[in-house]
Amino acid sequence: MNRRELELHLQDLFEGRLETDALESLQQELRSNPEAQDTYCDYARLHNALQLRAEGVDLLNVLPMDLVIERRQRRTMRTACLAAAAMLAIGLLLTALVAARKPKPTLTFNTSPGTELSVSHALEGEDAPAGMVLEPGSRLTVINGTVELEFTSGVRGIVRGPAALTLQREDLLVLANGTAWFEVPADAVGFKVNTPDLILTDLGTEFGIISEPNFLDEVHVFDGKVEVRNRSGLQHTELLQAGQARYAGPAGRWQETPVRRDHFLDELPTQEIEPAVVASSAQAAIVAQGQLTATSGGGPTSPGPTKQRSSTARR
Amino acid sequence: MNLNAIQQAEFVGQITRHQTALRAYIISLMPGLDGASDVLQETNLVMWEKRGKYQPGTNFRAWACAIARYEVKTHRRKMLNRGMTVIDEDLAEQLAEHGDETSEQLDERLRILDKCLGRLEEKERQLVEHRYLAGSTLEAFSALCGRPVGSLRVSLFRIRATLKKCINSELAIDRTRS
Repeated sequence: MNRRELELHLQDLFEGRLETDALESLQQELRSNPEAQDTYCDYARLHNALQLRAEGVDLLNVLPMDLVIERRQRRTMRTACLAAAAMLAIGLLLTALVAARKPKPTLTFNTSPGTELSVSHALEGEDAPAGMVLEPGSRLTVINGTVELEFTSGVRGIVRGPAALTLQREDLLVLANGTAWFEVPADAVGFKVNTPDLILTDLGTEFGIISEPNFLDEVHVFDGKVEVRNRSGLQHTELLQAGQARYAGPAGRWQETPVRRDHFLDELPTQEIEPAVVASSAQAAIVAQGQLTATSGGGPTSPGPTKQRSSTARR
Repeated sequence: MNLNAIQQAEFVGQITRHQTALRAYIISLMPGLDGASDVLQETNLVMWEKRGKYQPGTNFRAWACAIARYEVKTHRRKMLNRGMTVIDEDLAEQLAEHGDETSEQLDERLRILDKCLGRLEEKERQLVEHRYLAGSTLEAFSALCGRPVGSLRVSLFRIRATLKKCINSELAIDRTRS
């Protein structure tokens, strides 16, 4: 770049009319050529001197008081706003901490349309759980309809009424009667369900339990493994694999029965359905209606007298 | 640190003494961008707000230039957002340091500029005054005097070259005398 080009570019630069391409080449020249830097400085000094001569500098008013006051007020306002924002943030943080400290309920439940139920709690007064929540000692009676259980541990269950259950601990549910399906995540392995006939310990699985008055309790394993022990007789422990089902024999022996996946719900119905099991006092007949398979004259899954209790059974 | 009344007066005196130099520094940092006076005023206000942080006895000009640099950066960002062509920031800072002058040198330059402007022809002086005193564009002056913009641009280029030559030779004479 010759001197004339350089000075023309500098003039355009200080006039604010230099094109981008020309600016690039000027910058390159200024970076590499000390003489060009001197010319730039000369130009800047002249430009500044001409502007100073034209506009001058108001040395009597270098700090206009109105602006000083305005800025101070603005800063005070900004400080106040920041303080308010900080207070709000602290408030939100405290609220979040309080919310975080509040323990999650051990078990929450939902119901399908038309479900009738009653709940009682071991804790009373202000300590009693509020809403659709169960804590250890809470008892849930499903008169009809379906209830979905969601444990904090991740265990999920669907219970069809009529049913009655008591939450003993986070990992122990006592099912007095009812048809229930459970899905237990790996983190909650060891989850137990007790019925009048059996003690079931989950080993990471998906299973169903049928416990009805007048009938022997059944376990159906759909995935993974469960360990079951008979409460009476020989109290034999058996490890059940996926695809196996047993009912608790009268002498404490486990008896095989076909796996009936269709007998259990794994989702909460969106419509009202009829009760899963109705036991007639005369024949103890099973009548499954609605979405489930209809059977009669025997147990809920495999009809026949073998599933009826002996003379000591709950009849 | 809170300054007492005497220290405050001394601080304002420092700001005042460095006004012309600060302005030159700001112009050098943002060639071709409008708003140098606003940036200077903003720099003055920030200096006043930060007066408690200035250590008396240290280099006031260096401290003031650091604040001015920051204010120019803010101004440049605004200009860039408006699509203006802006010289590279690092290069501008390097050049501004390179061409730094004391307030006394600037005052001398202004005095000589007046003398050199007096040596221009009437038409030339009109063009300079229109460009700087009125702060107007060459397009506006072109409409006023009926000369093409290109011609005015070349004239202004020649006038500036003449003024630079005049100022430099006068400065050289002054230095020889002193």
